[in-house]
Amino acid sequence: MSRILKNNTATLIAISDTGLQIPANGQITIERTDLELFSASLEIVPLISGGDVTVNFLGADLGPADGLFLIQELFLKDDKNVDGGFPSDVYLPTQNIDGGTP
Amino acid sequence: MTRRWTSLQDSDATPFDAGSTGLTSKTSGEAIRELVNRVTVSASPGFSFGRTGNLSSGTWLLRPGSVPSNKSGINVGIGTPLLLKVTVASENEDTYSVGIYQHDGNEINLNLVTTVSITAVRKQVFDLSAALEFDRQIAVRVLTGSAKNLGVDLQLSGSTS
Repeated sequence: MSRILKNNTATLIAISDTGLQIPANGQITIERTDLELFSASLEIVPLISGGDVTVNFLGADLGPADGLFLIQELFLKDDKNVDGGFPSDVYLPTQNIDGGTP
Repeated sequence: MTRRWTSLQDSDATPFDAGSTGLTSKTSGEAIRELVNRVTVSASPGFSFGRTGNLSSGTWLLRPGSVPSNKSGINVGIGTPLLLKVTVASENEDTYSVGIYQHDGNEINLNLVTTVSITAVRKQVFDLSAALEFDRQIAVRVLTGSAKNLGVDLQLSGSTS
Protein backbone atom coordinates (compact mmCIF):
# COMPACT_ATOMS: atom_id res chain seq x y z
CA MET A 1 0.00 0.00 0.00
CA SER A 2 1.58 3.21 -1.14
CA ARG A 3 2.45 6.11 1.06
CA ILE A 4 2.49 9.45 -0.72
CA LEU A 5 4.21 12.61 0.47
CA LYS A 6 2.66 15.89 -0.68
CA ASN A 7 4.61 19.13 -0.70
CA ASN A 8 2.20 21.87 0.41
CA THR A 9 4.65 24.68 -0.34
CA ALA A 10 5.66 26.50 -3.50
CA THR A 11 9.30 25.53 -3.06
CA LEU A 12 11.13 22.28 -3.63
CA ILE A 13 11.71 20.31 -0.43
CA ALA A 14 14.86 18.22 -0.14
CA ILE A 15 14.89 15.44 2.43
CA SER A 16 18.59 14.81 2.21
CA ASP A 17 18.77 11.98 4.74
CA THR A 18 16.62 9.94 2.38
CA GLY A 19 18.30 11.22 -0.79
CA LEU A 20 14.93 12.37 -2.17
CA GLN A 21 13.18 15.63 -2.87
CA ILE A 22 9.56 16.61 -3.35
CA PRO A 23 8.78 19.07 -6.16
CA ALA A 24 7.11 22.37 -5.29
CA ASN A 25 3.39 21.74 -4.85
CA GLY A 26 4.09 18.19 -6.00
CA GLN A 27 4.25 14.74 -4.52
CA ILE A 28 6.29 11.56 -4.43
CA THR A 29 5.39 7.96 -3.70
CA ILE A 30 7.57 6.27 -1.13
CA GLU A 31 8.95 3.02 -2.52
CA ARG A 32 8.65 0.03 -0.22
CA THR A 33 12.41 -0.29 -0.26
CA ASP A 34 12.70 3.28 1.06
CA LEU A 35 10.37 2.79 4.05
CA GLU A 36 13.26 2.14 6.39
CA LEU A 37 15.04 5.30 5.24
CA PHE A 38 11.95 7.36 5.95
CA SER A 39 11.24 5.73 9.29
CA ALA A 40 14.78 6.70 10.34
CA SER A 41 14.68 10.17 8.80
CA LEU A 42 15.06 13.07 11.20
CA GLU A 43 14.46 15.69 8.51
CA ILE A 44 10.96 14.48 7.66
CA VAL A 45 9.67 14.98 11.21
CA PRO A 46 9.50 18.80 11.35
CA LEU A 47 8.25 18.90 7.76
CA ILE A 48 5.22 16.78 8.59
CA SER A 49 4.71 18.28 12.04
CA GLY A 50 4.84 21.78 10.63
CA GLY A 51 2.41 21.03 7.82
CA ASP A 52 4.82 21.60 4.93
CA VAL A 53 4.42 17.94 3.99
CA THR A 54 1.27 15.85 4.20
CA VAL A 55 1.22 12.06 4.22
CA ASN A 56 -1.44 10.51 2.02
CA PHE A 57 -2.36 6.87 2.56
CA LEU A 58 -4.97 5.00 0.53
CA GLY A 59 -6.27 8.27 -0.84
CA ALA A 60 -6.70 9.98 2.52
CA ASP A 61 -4.64 12.94 3.69
CA LEU A 62 -3.53 12.24 7.23
CA GLY A 63 -3.03 14.80 9.97
CA PRO A 64 0.53 15.41 11.22
CA ALA A 65 0.33 12.94 14.11
CA ASP A 66 -1.08 10.12 12.03
CA GLY A 67 1.22 10.95 9.14
CA LEU A 68 4.26 10.68 11.38
CA PHE A 69 2.93 7.48 12.90
CA LEU A 70 2.64 5.92 9.47
CA ILE A 71 6.10 7.06 8.38
CA GLN A 72 7.79 5.94 11.59
CA GLU A 73 5.82 2.70 11.79
CA LEU A 74 8.88 0.49 11.40
CA PHE A 75 10.50 1.93 14.50
CA LEU A 76 7.27 1.88 16.45
CA LYS A 77 6.97 -1.84 15.79
CA ASP A 78 10.41 -2.27 17.32
CA ASP A 79 9.27 -0.29 20.34
CA LYS A 80 6.35 -2.58 21.11
CA ASN A 81 6.08 -3.87 24.64
CA VAL A 82 6.31 -7.59 25.23
CA ASP A 83 2.54 -7.74 25.65
CA GLY A 84 2.12 -6.32 22.16
CA GLY A 85 1.05 -2.87 23.35
CA PHE A 86 2.92 0.31 22.69
CA PRO A 87 5.02 2.08 25.32
CA SER A 88 3.13 4.91 26.96
CA ASP A 89 5.30 7.58 25.37
CA VAL A 90 4.39 6.51 21.85
CA TYR A 91 1.26 8.09 20.47
CA LEU A 92 -1.34 6.05 18.66
CA PRO A 93 -3.18 7.12 15.53
CA THR A 94 -6.13 9.34 16.22
CA GLN A 95 -7.77 8.60 12.91
CA ASN A 96 -8.55 5.39 11.08
CA ILE A 97 -7.33 5.06 7.51
CA ASP A 98 -10.91 5.47 6.35
CA GLY A 99 -10.96 8.89 7.97
CA GLY A 100 -13.07 7.86 10.95
CA THR A 101 -11.90 7.83 14.53
CA PRO A 102 -10.91 4.61 16.26
CA MET B 1 77.08 -20.17 -25.27
CA THR B 2 76.82 -20.18 -21.50
CA ARG B 3 75.82 -16.94 -19.86
CA ARG B 4 76.93 -15.96 -16.45
CA TRP B 5 74.37 -14.57 -14.02
CA THR B 6 76.13 -11.27 -13.98
CA SER B 7 75.60 -10.85 -17.70
CA LEU B 8 71.78 -11.18 -17.46
CA GLN B 9 69.98 -7.88 -17.58
CA ASP B 10 67.96 -6.67 -14.66
CA SER B 11 64.34 -5.93 -15.63
CA ASP B 12 64.76 -2.44 -14.30
CA ALA B 13 67.61 -2.00 -16.75
CA THR B 14 65.67 -3.33 -19.74
CA PRO B 15 64.12 -0.55 -21.78
CA PHE B 16 60.36 -0.76 -22.27
CA ASP B 17 58.51 0.72 -25.23
CA ALA B 18 55.22 1.99 -23.76
CA GLY B 19 53.76 2.87 -27.16
CA SER B 20 49.96 2.35 -27.31
CA THR B 21 49.86 0.52 -23.96
CA GLY B 22 48.68 3.43 -21.88
CA LEU B 23 51.54 2.78 -19.48
CA THR B 24 54.13 5.38 -18.53
CA SER B 25 56.99 3.11 -17.49
CA LYS B 26 60.35 3.30 -19.21
CA THR B 27 61.68 -0.11 -18.13
CA SER B 28 60.19 -3.61 -18.06
CA GLY B 29 60.39 -3.81 -14.27
CA GLU B 30 58.53 -0.55 -13.81
CA ALA B 31 55.90 -1.67 -16.35
CA ILE B 32 55.21 -4.90 -14.45
CA ARG B 33 54.77 -3.02 -11.19
CA GLU B 34 52.53 -0.48 -12.92
CA LEU B 35 50.32 -3.30 -14.25
CA VAL B 36 50.09 -4.98 -10.86
CA ASN B 37 48.87 -1.69 -9.38
CA ARG B 38 46.28 -1.22 -12.12
CA VAL B 39 44.84 -4.70 -11.84
CA THR B 40 44.55 -4.43 -8.07
CA VAL B 41 42.88 -1.07 -8.27
CA SER B 42 40.37 -2.13 -10.90
CA ALA B 43 39.18 -5.02 -8.75
CA SER B 44 38.70 -3.28 -5.43
CA PRO B 45 36.41 -1.82 -4.39
CA GLY B 46 33.36 -1.86 -6.66
CA PHE B 47 31.99 1.62 -7.16
CA SER B 48 28.33 0.71 -7.57
CA PHE B 49 25.28 2.85 -6.92
CA GLY B 50 21.59 2.16 -7.44
CA ARG B 51 18.04 2.74 -6.32
CA THR B 52 14.69 1.09 -6.89
CA GLY B 53 11.52 2.80 -8.09
CA ASN B 54 10.75 5.57 -10.54
CA LEU B 55 13.55 8.01 -9.87
CA SER B 56 12.97 11.66 -10.67
CA SER B 57 15.45 14.50 -10.99
CA GLY B 58 17.23 15.36 -7.78
CA THR B 59 17.21 11.80 -6.45
CA TRP B 60 20.45 10.58 -4.90
CA LEU B 61 21.37 6.98 -5.56
CA LEU B 62 22.22 4.66 -2.70
CA ARG B 63 25.56 3.03 -2.06
CA PRO B 64 25.66 -0.64 -1.00
CA GLY B 65 23.96 -0.90 2.37
CA SER B 66 21.08 1.34 1.26
CA VAL B 67 22.86 4.49 2.43
CA PRO B 68 22.12 7.69 0.47
CA SER B 69 25.37 8.50 -1.30
CA ASN B 70 24.98 12.21 -0.53
CA LYS B 71 25.17 11.35 3.17
CA SER B 72 27.88 8.68 3.00
CA GLY B 73 29.28 7.93 -0.43
CA ILE B 74 32.01 5.51 -1.38
CA ASN B 75 35.33 6.85 -0.19
CA VAL B 76 38.15 6.74 -2.74
CA GLY B 77 41.20 4.93 -1.41
CA ILE B 78 43.00 4.85 -4.74
CA GLY B 79 45.99 7.10 -5.39
CA THR B 80 45.68 9.67 -8.19
CA PRO B 81 42.23 8.30 -9.10
CA LEU B 82 40.88 8.70 -12.58
CA LEU B 83 37.27 7.96 -13.57
CA LEU B 84 37.57 5.93 -16.78
CA LYS B 85 34.10 4.53 -17.38
CA VAL B 86 30.53 5.08 -16.26
CA THR B 87 28.03 2.34 -17.07
CA VAL B 88 24.32 2.78 -16.53
CA ALA B 89 21.44 0.31 -16.54
CA SER B 90 17.71 0.92 -16.18
CA GLU B 91 14.58 -1.18 -16.47
CA ASN B 92 12.97 0.97 -19.14
CA GLU B 93 14.22 2.94 -22.14
CA ASP B 94 14.57 6.08 -20.07
CA THR B 95 15.92 9.55 -20.84
CA TYR B 96 17.85 11.19 -18.05
CA SER B 97 21.21 12.53 -16.97
CA VAL B 98 23.37 11.46 -14.08
CA GLY B 99 25.82 13.56 -12.09
CA ILE B 100 28.93 12.13 -10.44
CA TYR B 101 29.87 14.12 -7.34
CA GLN B 102 32.53 14.14 -4.66
CA HIS B 103 32.11 15.37 -1.10
CA ASP B 104 33.59 15.01 2.36
CA GLY B 105 30.51 13.35 3.87
CA ASN B 106 27.02 14.74 4.45
CA GLU B 107 27.31 16.82 1.25
CA ILE B 108 30.13 18.91 2.77
CA ASN B 109 32.26 20.51 0.03
CA LEU B 110 30.02 18.88 -2.57
CA ASN B 111 31.21 19.35 -6.13
CA LEU B 112 30.04 17.98 -9.47
CA VAL B 113 32.80 16.04 -11.23
CA THR B 114 31.10 15.06 -14.46
CA THR B 115 27.75 14.40 -16.09
CA VAL B 116 26.54 11.72 -18.50
CA SER B 117 23.34 11.92 -20.54
CA ILE B 118 21.23 8.94 -21.56
CA THR B 119 18.54 9.08 -24.23
CA ALA B 120 15.88 6.39 -24.49
CA VAL B 121 18.05 3.34 -23.84
CA ARG B 122 18.24 0.70 -21.13
CA LYS B 123 22.03 0.58 -20.91
CA GLN B 124 25.01 2.62 -21.96
CA VAL B 125 28.77 2.78 -21.44
CA PHE B 126 30.63 6.09 -21.30
CA ASP B 127 34.40 6.41 -21.70
CA LEU B 128 35.74 9.29 -19.65
CA SER B 129 38.93 10.65 -18.21
CA ALA B 130 37.82 12.66 -15.22
CA ALA B 131 40.16 13.32 -12.32
CA LEU B 132 38.85 12.40 -8.89
CA GLU B 133 40.30 13.13 -5.49
CA PHE B 134 41.82 10.64 -3.07
CA ASP B 135 40.02 10.24 0.29
CA ARG B 136 36.82 11.94 -0.82
CA GLN B 137 33.42 10.31 -1.13
CA ILE B 138 31.69 9.64 -4.45
CA ALA B 139 27.96 10.28 -4.75
CA VAL B 140 25.63 9.83 -7.73
CA ARG B 141 22.44 11.73 -8.50
CA VAL B 142 19.77 11.83 -11.19
CA LEU B 143 20.07 15.38 -12.53
CA THR B 144 17.35 15.53 -15.17
CA GLY B 145 14.62 13.28 -16.51
CA SER B 146 13.64 10.07 -14.80
CA ALA B 147 14.62 6.41 -14.74
CA LYS B 148 13.19 3.23 -13.28
CA ASN B 149 15.30 0.93 -11.11
CA LEU B 150 18.58 2.56 -12.00
CA GLY B 151 22.09 1.23 -11.51
CA VAL B 152 25.26 3.24 -12.08
CA ASP B 153 28.72 1.65 -11.90
CA LEU B 154 32.06 3.39 -12.10
CA GLN B 155 35.46 2.13 -13.19
CA LEU B 156 38.48 3.89 -11.73
CA SER B 157 42.17 3.66 -12.37
CA GLY B 158 44.99 4.82 -10.17
CA SER B 159 47.64 3.38 -7.94
CA THR B 160 47.55 1.40 -4.72
CA SER B 161 50.19 3.64 -3.18
